[in-house]
Amino acid sequence: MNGTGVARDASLRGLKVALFERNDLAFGASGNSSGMIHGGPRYLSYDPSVTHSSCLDSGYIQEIAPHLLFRIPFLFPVAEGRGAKVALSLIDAFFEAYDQYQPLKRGKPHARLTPDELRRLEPGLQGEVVGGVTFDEWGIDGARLVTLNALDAARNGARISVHTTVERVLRREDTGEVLGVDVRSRLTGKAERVTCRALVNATGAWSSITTDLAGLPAKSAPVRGGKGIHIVYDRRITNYAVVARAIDGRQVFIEPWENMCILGTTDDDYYGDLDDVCATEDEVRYLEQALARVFPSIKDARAIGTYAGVRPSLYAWGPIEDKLSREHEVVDHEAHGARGMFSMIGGKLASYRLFAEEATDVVARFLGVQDPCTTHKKPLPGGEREIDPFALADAAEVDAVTARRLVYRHGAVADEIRERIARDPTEAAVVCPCEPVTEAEIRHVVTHEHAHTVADVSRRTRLGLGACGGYRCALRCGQIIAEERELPPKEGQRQALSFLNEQSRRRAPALSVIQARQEAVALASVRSELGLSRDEEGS
Amino acid sequence: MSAPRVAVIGAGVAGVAAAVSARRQGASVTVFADGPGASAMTSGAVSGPLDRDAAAFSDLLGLWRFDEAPRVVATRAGVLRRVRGADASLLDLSRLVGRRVGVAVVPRPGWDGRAVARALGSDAMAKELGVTFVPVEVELLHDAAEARYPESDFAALVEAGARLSWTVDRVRSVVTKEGVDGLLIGPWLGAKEPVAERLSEAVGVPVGEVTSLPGEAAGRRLDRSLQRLLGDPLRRGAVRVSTDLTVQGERFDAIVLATGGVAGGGIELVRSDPTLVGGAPPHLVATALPSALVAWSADSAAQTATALPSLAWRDGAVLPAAGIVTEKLGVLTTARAPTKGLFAAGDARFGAGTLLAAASDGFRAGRLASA
Repeated sequence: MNGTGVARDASLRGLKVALFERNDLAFGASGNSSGMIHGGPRYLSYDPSVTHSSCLDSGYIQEIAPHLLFRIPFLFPVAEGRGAKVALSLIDAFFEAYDQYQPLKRGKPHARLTPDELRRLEPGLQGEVVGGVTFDEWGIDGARLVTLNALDAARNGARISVHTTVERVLRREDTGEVLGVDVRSRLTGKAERVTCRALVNATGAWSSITTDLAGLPAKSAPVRGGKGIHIVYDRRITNYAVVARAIDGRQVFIEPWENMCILGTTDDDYYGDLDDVCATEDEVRYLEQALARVFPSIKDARAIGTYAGVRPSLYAWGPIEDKLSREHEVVDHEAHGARGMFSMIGGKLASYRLFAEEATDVVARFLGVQDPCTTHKKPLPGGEREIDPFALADAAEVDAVTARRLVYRHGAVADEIRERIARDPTEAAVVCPCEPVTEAEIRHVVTHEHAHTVADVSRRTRLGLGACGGYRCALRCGQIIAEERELPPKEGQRQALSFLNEQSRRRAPALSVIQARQEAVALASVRSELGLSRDEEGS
Repeated sequence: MSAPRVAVIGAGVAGVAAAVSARRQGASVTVFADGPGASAMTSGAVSGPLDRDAAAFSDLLGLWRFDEAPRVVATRAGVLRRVRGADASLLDLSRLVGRRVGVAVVPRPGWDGRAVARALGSDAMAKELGVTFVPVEVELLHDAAEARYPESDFAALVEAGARLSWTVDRVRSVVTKEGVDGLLIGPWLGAKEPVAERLSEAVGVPVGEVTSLPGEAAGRRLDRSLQRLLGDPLRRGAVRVSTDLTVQGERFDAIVLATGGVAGGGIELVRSDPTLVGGAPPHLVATALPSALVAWSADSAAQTATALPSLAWRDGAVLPAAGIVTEKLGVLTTARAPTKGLFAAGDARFGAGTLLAAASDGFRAGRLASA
């Protein structure tokens, strides 16, 4: 998020930008968040400036990408017990204070609810409650937000290179000044040297690795990586997000999100492989246990996957993970002898634009560029005007749900996809029925949104992330990618299988008994379809 | 001496092979089954070594076709696979070397004949064999409503005499018009028994199916063929066996466990209630073995933990995790001693394997159980 945010801001100010991403857009924390640009109410009591900037920036995001946001109303039940009535009054007062910030993001004010009102809104709530509170947040698809920033940057001349890793940061022998980077494409293996006058390290949890590549000391851009997991359920189990308390007192929640439900999240210091963060069974049980106390039907719900990311929090030794500031910081590495290199530490989705503005201000000043920031005014691609999904459905001859999802992800650009279908009606075929995702959209993201693999397409369109787990669409998606990128068909199949294996791995900690069997059957049938079963030829 | 009484748990390929083989040895066989397993989800491709036992079983089954050389079947994903043999309804591309094969374009959801033709055309083996694929529109639906029939229900339609003739006419005219040497269609050629051979003979060129997905015609046909071969009624319902060789209170001289692996339902993942603190971690159990025979142990939980993330359901690692360890064909309990008279066959013994291996294994187990 930080990287593409800066790339956009800088390119809008007339700077020549190149962005290198080792994996894919939104591969890290940006694509694995709770999917909300929440105003950070929890910071209100000890860091209200964070709340203010979050809400203000959320307001800007709404203006520049209105199609990406959807309301998520929250229910906050307060369980009966000692001091419960006082707790409820305090929470009421707290959200009264939070209400001050809501107008910044066009949020609705909170309301205090009686136990009856709570249960009427969400009959699934169990347990004795003294009442509760409802407050308002905005949901968003983080991967789309990142992608749109990257696309706008590219539109303004930036070079966006995904699947390209920086292997070395080049510095002048004498002054230590930054000269450029050596990069290598992980798709083709081709290496390249790129010179630059300024380098922005926006690698999030990977920050220390990047500073190391520049030969900087370990503490120059310190990040405390906090792993957070989420569990995804196959449908909307509730129409309201519900807050619950976990066994260790942390707040977790289940939220209705797009066409499914998400339960999250955890926060644990992470020391593992950043390129392969996966939820564990422990973490899954922790979350299920927490929610089951107020919402027992979660035990019968069908989990269709998990996802995990590592938050790049500002480093501080001592505080419990939750208490770490979510503030952001721009580090100028001139202090470490590397003039021209800057690192972005911390940050939240909700205030990404502000953080990007601050970082770009620093870089622009360094380069002597005066242009002001315009990212809060210029719409992101697709956000220029509103599209009526029903009109689109009629014009493209697709069903209304498909049209609605297209409009959500692409906004005004959905018209371009409609034009594709008009040119070739076979592209209206729905490839992923769970989402739904049409062939036209897949071809569009491959040709226009830097998608190289099935996993990339999945991040941009949510293909294969629904109830079928990708078993009905990954192979076809692989075929389409192979066609569009002129790769051998085997490569498309390999990508599909790799995607399915990854999803299967991520689903494993949350599988129910019946699902385990379904998974075994589905995997076996994919292998059979691809001719990967053993003993093909026999004696 | 009276005939040995043998119980077979599971009525898939391994189970029916064991039952038939035990009967041939003169045993009195009772088969218990709890529902369709992996056999009912076969693709129609028949892999594995065709040894004497497997061949004997296949002759009795009557569904599979083998030649001297392997057959070549096609999948919807656009892959050609070399397999030892196949269900009689699958199109054998090894007989169409250097030929032009039509791929039926039929307006059924989930079937995109043009995409299949395109994908198959770029397959390496197709190029090697010199087979070309062309999409051809074929009228296989009698009316538009049939597009909504589930796959195997649609496959069942063609079994009726009048419908078969109608289909023959449609296919023959298309084949003649397009000048193709063979026709590849979806898994729609019979749900009780394969119809492709009759269809091909009437049309004059080979007509056959792609491989089936779970729930489609090939699985239905195998299931039906197995039932027919078994003959006697099954005892339905889940059962547990015990070390004294009793099943549901009845004592037997030998028991063959042909309950399958994870896909077949013979091995289950057990999770405890997440709201309980300190519940057992997820572990695998063999559904037919009672906990007294195979107690959950830290070892099995650890093995499950390894199997789970990599989802190595198909590997032999899953079986020890569920307590099934076999020496030759015996079953070892956690006490590490073979249990006399208790045998395992098929996926229950070696993890996700091939149909022919299951057949051969079951045949052998049945023989041993009746000794």
